[in-house]
Formats: sequence, structure tokens, C-alpha cells
Amino acid sequence: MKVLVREVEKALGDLFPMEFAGLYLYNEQNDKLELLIAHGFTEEERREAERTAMDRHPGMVFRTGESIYISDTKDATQPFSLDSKRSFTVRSRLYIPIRAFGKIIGTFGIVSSKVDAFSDDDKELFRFICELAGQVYTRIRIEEQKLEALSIQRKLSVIATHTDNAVVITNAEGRIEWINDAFTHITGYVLTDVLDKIPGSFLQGTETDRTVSKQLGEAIRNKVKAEGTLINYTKSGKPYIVYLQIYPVFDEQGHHTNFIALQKDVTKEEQARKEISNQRARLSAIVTTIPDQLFIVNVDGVIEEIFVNRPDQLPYSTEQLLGANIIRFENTDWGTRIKRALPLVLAGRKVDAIEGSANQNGQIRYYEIRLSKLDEQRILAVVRDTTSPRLIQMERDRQARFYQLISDLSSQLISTGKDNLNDSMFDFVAKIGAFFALDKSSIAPFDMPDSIGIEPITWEKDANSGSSSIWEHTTIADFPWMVEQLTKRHSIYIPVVSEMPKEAEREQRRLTENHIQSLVVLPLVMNNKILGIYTAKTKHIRKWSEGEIALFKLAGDLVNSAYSRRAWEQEREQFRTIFENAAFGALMFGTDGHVRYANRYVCTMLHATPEQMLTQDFDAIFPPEFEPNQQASCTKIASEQLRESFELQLKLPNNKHKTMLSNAVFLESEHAANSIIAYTFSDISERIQQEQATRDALNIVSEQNKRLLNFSYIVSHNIRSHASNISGIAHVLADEPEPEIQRQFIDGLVKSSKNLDSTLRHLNELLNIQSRVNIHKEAVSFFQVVNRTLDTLVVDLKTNNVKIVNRIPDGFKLQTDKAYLDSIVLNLFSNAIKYRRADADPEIIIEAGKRNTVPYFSIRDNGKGIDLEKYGDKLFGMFKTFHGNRDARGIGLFITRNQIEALGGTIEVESKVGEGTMFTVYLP
Amino acid sequence: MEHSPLIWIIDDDDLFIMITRNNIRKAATLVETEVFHDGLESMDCLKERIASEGILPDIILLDLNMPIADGWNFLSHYIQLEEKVRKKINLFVCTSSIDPKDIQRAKEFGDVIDFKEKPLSKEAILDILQNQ
Repeated sequence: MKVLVREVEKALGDLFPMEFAGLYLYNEQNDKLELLIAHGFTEEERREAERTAMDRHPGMVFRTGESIYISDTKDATQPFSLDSKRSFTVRSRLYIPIRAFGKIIGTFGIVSSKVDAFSDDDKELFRFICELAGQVYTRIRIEEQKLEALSIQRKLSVIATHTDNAVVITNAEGRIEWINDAFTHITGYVLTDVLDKIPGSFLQGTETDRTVSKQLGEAIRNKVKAEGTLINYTKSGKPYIVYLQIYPVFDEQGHHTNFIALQKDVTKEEQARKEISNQRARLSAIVTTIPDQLFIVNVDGVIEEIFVNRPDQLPYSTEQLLGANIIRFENTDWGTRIKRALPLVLAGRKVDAIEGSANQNGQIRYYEIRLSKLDEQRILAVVRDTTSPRLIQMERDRQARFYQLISDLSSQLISTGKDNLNDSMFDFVAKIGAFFALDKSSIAPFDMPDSIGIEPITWEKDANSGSSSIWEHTTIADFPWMVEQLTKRHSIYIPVVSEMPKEAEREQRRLTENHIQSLVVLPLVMNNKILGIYTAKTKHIRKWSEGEIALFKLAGDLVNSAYSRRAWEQEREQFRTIFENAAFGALMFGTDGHVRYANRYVCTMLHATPEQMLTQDFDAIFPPEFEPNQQASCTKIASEQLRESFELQLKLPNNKHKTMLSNAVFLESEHAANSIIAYTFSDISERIQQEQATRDALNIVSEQNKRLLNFSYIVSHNIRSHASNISGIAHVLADEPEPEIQRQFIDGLVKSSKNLDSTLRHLNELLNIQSRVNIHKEAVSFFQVVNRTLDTLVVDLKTNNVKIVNRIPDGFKLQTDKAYLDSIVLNLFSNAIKYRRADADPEIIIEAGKRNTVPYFSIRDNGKGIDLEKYGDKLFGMFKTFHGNRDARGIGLFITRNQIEALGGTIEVESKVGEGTMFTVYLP
Repeated sequence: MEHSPLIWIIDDDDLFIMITRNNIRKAATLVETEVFHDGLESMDCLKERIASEGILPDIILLDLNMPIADGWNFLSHYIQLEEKVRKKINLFVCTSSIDPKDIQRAKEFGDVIDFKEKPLSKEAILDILQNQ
């Protein structure tokens, strides 16, 4: 074409002097007029002209097919005279269309700086040239097309021959003109089998899809391109799937000449696709049963396929997901991990499940992603929604943490002494407050009639809030509803303060004033008395879950038990102190009889330390040789549960023992080893002694009293006797004239007064003895005493021819008062002589010695004897005589006995009437 | 009076007996007296007299403090003899005891007419005799 252009330009130049001339050809592809010849144009002008050609004269001409001549560009009356820069230099314009193939293919334009530079002849010339150009163009194009067609044909025939796809060329009616080798290969038919036949007639069979074949038929009739997939049959009747493309072919004139049919055997592909489809279906079926979502992603994370069972669980729609990158999920950490994992998985490495979360409509959902290699380029991602199990696990963890917290706090509380309880309780309420994310966590005393005071303890999340306790400066009268609930031992759970019941109006007001929106109040109870309350408060609404309520109850129990323990310990301490310092002994034994506890009283009494006491047992302290101790052993008490007011003999360190008055009780425990037998006792030995002493003293006193009374009566009687006699005699004498009788009575008077004197003397003696003065004990030789007595009585002894038998051991001594002993022995001897038998010579036997370590002596006579049965108890009485013996004044033995008793001794008598009497005196 | 009244004096005190006898003589010469020195002696005699229907006393002056058997002993036996004694005997207790117990005890014996304090004066004896 360029050659042509050059020639044309040259020719034109030869023919005509041109200033500016352009040959525009229409380019179909970009819908523009292109300058082929641009004579007289600068490069810039050329470009400008080409750019604006379509909008200006060349374009107009091209579109209308009418020539345009402007003789004077400045003449506005002429049509198409456009104002432009060029109008200064260009005064006349001529544009002529170029035709080829029956249509406008371009424009020829020539301009001049002269006005009306082109004559009609010129115009004619140019028109002729354009026509010529058109024809030449046409010719060239035809040639070109021919060549191209030839080339294409050549290429096609090569392709057609060698391709694996079957090619069929038919004539315009659709009858086969030519087939390639591939056709034969696929169908089994050779050209001779099918020449001049219509392909559809023998290729299609029973299973051919009628719809598709109809579509193809339709397209063929309309002579347009068609394609489709259907079943054809080989010569041998075997079906195969064919992908068919049918192209109509037209000649240069546009007449339809042939059809070209391209057939591709896609049996295998179809089978494969069916197989894939089946597998997909199977996979789908499997996938629908599992709760997980499946994604197939490539190594970059782009989601190629999705199997989604629970779209509601995914935060994104299928459309959003397909093609999106799985890495770009919200949790960037999650995305990063997936990004790192994908290549590893493709490399065949095993990767752990990746955990992540996403926000779905404001709710957090948790996921687990497992990746596995699907093929060389794709990875299967299984996404499991773990929100439920995760939440359950979180709740469980929370509970486990809470139980751990409670366990730690309870160990702490158990090991806390009662003095540190408040500190521990503060720690406790603080930890509870932190755990439940409370605004306030506190313990307060509850001022009810049956409550025991505890100290208020408060923890606040915002330590600087400075708000006071809501219970401060209030009494229970201010909160009747709450008090009612708590008195019934109900716990109070209020998720929303503004929804509290009507009866709780005052409480609600108070809480609202303090900005509390949720509340828990638990009564703290010990021994059925309310100690106080635990309150948990939040400033935001909080729906207390069942789990939380259960945990609060547990916390409440813990607090209760802590306070109970403290109270119990305090009580225990009190009792312990009381026992330790009691004014009585307290001993506790185990069932094995070993000491478990001894109070200070016992330790002091036994001179032992508490530690030493623990090594002792019951038998060591209360020896079993004492009968009462045996009766009160631990085993015996254990079987009775309680025994009161019994005696125990306590063994002292100096081996003496004291009598204790005791109570004992058996304290049984489930563990036999912990059972205790507890004895409390006080020392009554002194009391017993005192009682005895008192009794003794009382006895003595009453005895003395009796004697004294007796004594006084008898004495007074005796004195009065003598006195009355004296008085009587005196009266008689006063009236009696007879001297003989007078003399009698005067004798009587003498006697009476002597008697009175004697009585008074005896009285004196007795008084001396009674007051026990003058006793001086020394070692006295009994033999000498007897000798002295015998000396005193020598006359009587001789007169009565008394025989004395001496059986006193040599050197026998008595530790006693000499004077008293003399008197005693004298009196006894006197009696022995006095009460001698008339019919026998008196014999007196004196013995002495020791009986049972007690020194004694005895004086035996062979006199009249005394009827002890009759008179035994009167023997030593005062003024008793038994024989009518006128000399006896009966005071002798009385005095003797008193003397013996004053010396601390005793006197015994044996006697038989008519045989004799023996007096035995013991003087210890 | 059919016969002279008989007074028994039961006492161990010779001097008292001497005085009393003298006073009785002085008071009424016809009165007979018998003397016993203890309760046993007198009781035996009484029993014997009753049994043999011998002479019984009209008046008994009884001392309390005597050896062997004292006045109480006599009294306790005397009560048992009561029915057998057909004669009315006035029994007087004479003592120098001031023991109120003795006085009380004596008065409880229905047979005791009265309690007389020693010494017995002439007037006292007259009194006793007249009460017969």
C-alpha cells in the first residue's frame, strides 16, 4: 500500500501544483480517518489534522459521501466554512470522498491559500483521481484478501489434517465434502462412507440429546455459528461424547458456501467431569453431616471452594468468602498464623490447629482451623465453630478458678488465728470483688436482736470514689423488705435495681441514690443467728447467672464458717482459761487412761509441769490400791457417762494421799481415740479432817458438857445433902434438951461437916483434873510407885493380912505424871482392900507390861467382885456405890478414871461376883 | 386411926435418918418408923409383906440417890405392885437434888404425892401426917 501511496502522491504532484493535500483512509478498528498522504503538512500539522479529521471536513465527507468545496473560507455564507487557525492561510478547500466496495473508504482533501483556487476542471480531475484510487484500492484489497484466504486455507488444511479434533467440511446444504483423519480415527468412518451425507443423520443415535441437536439444526438453518455437546455414535455403534462447533463459511460476496464442523471427543473429559461431579456430590453429602465448614484454599489463602453447612455460624456470606483471602480475617494474629501455615502444609508438614475469633453481629465467636494438603496446589481448611464448647470451657475454667480461689481463701482462713480474722476477711472480700468484677464487696454487721456483732469490712473497686456504705447511718427500720427477706434466711439476688418489687421501694431509692444497679445480699448465719450480711454491688446491670449465684452461696458459706470458727475458738479459749485457773483440779484422760490435760491446780499439787503430767496415767495419780479409785476408773466412768460426788484418793509426791471429792463425765467422740474422761475434784481431806476434828471436839465438848452437868447436879446434891444434914441437926440441937441425944447429934454434926469438907475437896480435885493442868510426864518406875502406895497403906495391909503378889517386870517404866499415877494406884489398891471378901484372906496381884505396844498395868483382887451386868455402866460414875458400904462415897473410881484419861490412858475392869475384880490401866 | 401410922424411911444417909426420926418423934409420938438403906432392901420387904399380908406402911419417904437400887428403881417396881397393894400408901420423894429433871420425873409417877426437900422439918412431917 505504501508503494501505491508514494506513486499516487508523485503522480498527483506531477499533475497539479499542490500546496496542501491529504489522503484520509478510514480505519475500521479505531473508527478514525488516517492520513496516508499529508503533502505540505508539518509533522505537527499532520498529527493535528489526523486527530481532528473525523470531526471536520474529512469526516463530514466520509460520512455523507458528498464532496465539499469552499471557495472562500472567510465567506461565512458558504456552508462548512469553519473558523480555524488555518483560515488565515487556507482560503479555499476541496474534499472529495473515495469509494470502494460500494462504500466510502476515505476522503481526499486539498486546500489552497488562494481563494477559489480550484476550477471545475480541477474538481473533475480530482474526482477522477479519487475514483481511480478507489478502484486501485479495491483491486489491492481483493488481492490481499485472496492471498490471505489462500494462506488461511493452507494453514487450516494443515491444522485440519493433523489435528486430533475431527474436522468436517460440508457444502452449503450440509453434505459432507471433506473429512480429516481425526474424524476417521474417532468415528471409524472413512470419506467414502460419509461423502455427501449429512453428519447428523448417521452420527446421532438413541441417546443423543434431542434438545442440543435441535439447537444445532436451528443454527445451521440460520447459517450462524453453533456449538454444543452431545452424544455421537461411532461406526461400530459405540457412543462417545462430542463437543461440536459448526462455522458457516461465506465467500467474498457473502454467499454461504460451506459449513465447517469441528468435533472434539470429550468423552474422557465428560467422564472425568462426571466423576468429579459425583465426588463432589459425595463430598457434599459427607460435609453436610459434619458440623464444620470446609474451605479449599490455594497457597496464598484465596478461597476457591466452600462447603458451608451452617451459614449462620460464619460471619460472612458465601459470596463474600469465595475468592476472598482466608488470611484477611479480623483477628490478625489468626491470619498471620494461617499465612505461615499454608506453605508448610503444602510442603507436607503437619500443622497444629489454629485458634481464632471473629466478631459476628457484636457477638464473639471462636473458631478452630485445621489445615491439610489436598493436592499440590490446594489446601483443605476445616473450620470448626468452638464458641459453645469454648464458652463452656471458659465457664468451667472460671468455675475452676473460682474453686481454686475459694480453696486458697479457705486454707488461709483456716490457718488464720482468731486475732487476724479481720485482715483475712478483707482479703477475702477483695478477691471476691475482683473475681466477679464488682464495684463494691463488703461485710456489714446486722443489728438484729438475735445477731452477734462483727466488724464491717469494705472493698471498693474504685478506691477513690469516696462513696459511703449504703448501710451507713441507717437502721433496720429503713429497710423493712430486706430485713424481712434476711430474717427468713433468704438470699437476695437483684439483677436490675430498677425492677425491684414494690415492697422494696425504700431499698430501691437508697440503692439508686448510690448508683447501684445490681445487688447480691447474703445473710451470714451461725448457730441460727444472723451475724451480718455480705453485699456485692455493681454500678451496671448484671444478670447474675446460676453459676455465679452458686459461687456466691459458696463464698457465703465460707464466711459463715470462718466466723463460726472464730467464735468457737474464742469460746474454747474462754473455757480453757477458766479450767486452767480454776480453784479445783481438772484432769482429762483418754480411753487408754493416759493424761490428756491437767490444769494448774493439779500441776501445783503434784509438783509437776504440764508436760510431765502428759506422761502420767490414771493409776499413777489415783492408785488402784484404794478401793474408791478402782470404782472410779476411766473404764467405769465411760460406761456411766456421768457420776457425781464420789471420792478419789490422790497420791501426792511424798507418797501421802489426799481425799478428793470428784465429779466425772465421759465425753464421747466418733473416734474412740478422741473420747475423753474428764474428772473435776476438790481437796476435801482437810475438810474431812476438820469435820472429824469438829466432830471430835463436839464429842468431847458434849461429853464434857454432859459430865459437867451431871457433875454439877451430883455435886450440888451431895453438898446439899451435907448441908441439909447440918441444918437439920442444928434445928434439932436447938430444941433438944437431952444431953445424950445432944451428944449424938453433935457427933452427927461433926461428921456432916467433915463430909461436906471432904466433898468440897474432891470437887477441887476434880476441877483440877478437868482443866488438865499440872500434868508433867516423865519416865516413872512403876515398881517404886507401887512401893510407895504399899507404904501408905501399910496399916490396912497388915490389919487385913493382905498378900501382895508382884509381877512387875524389872525396870518397867511408864512415861507419865508421877503424882497422878500415885493417886491412881493408891485408889485401886484401896478399893481392892476395901472390897475384900469376908471369908478369905485378901490377895492382890500386880502385873505390868505391854500389849500391842501399849504399856499397861493391872491390879487384881480376890474380893467381893462386882456384878458388871447390873452395874457396869455405873461403875465409874460419880457417887455410885455398889455394896452399901458406908465408907464408900463412890467418888473414888470417878476421879481415878478422870485421872487416867487425863494421862491419855484407858481403864478396863473384869470382875466376877464372889471371886474378885481386876482393873487394867493402859497408859500409852 | 386404927393403929399408929407406919412410916417407911428409905434412905442411905444415916444422919438424915437420925434427924428425920427425931423430928417425927417430936411431931407425933405414936408414929412407927421402919428404915431401909436401899431400894432393893425395901422393895424385897414390901413384896414379902404383901405376899404374907403383913403390915404395910402408910407413908413412904423415898430418897432418890441410893446405892444398889436407887429411888427410881424402887418406883418402877412399886408401880407394878400397885394392884396388889390394897392399902393406900402416901409416897413422898425426899431429895436434896435440885435437878429439875428429877422433879419432873418424880411428878410423872402418879403414885408420888409430893416432892419434899431435905431436911424434913417438924412442920413438914406434920404436914405429911395430916394428909393421911
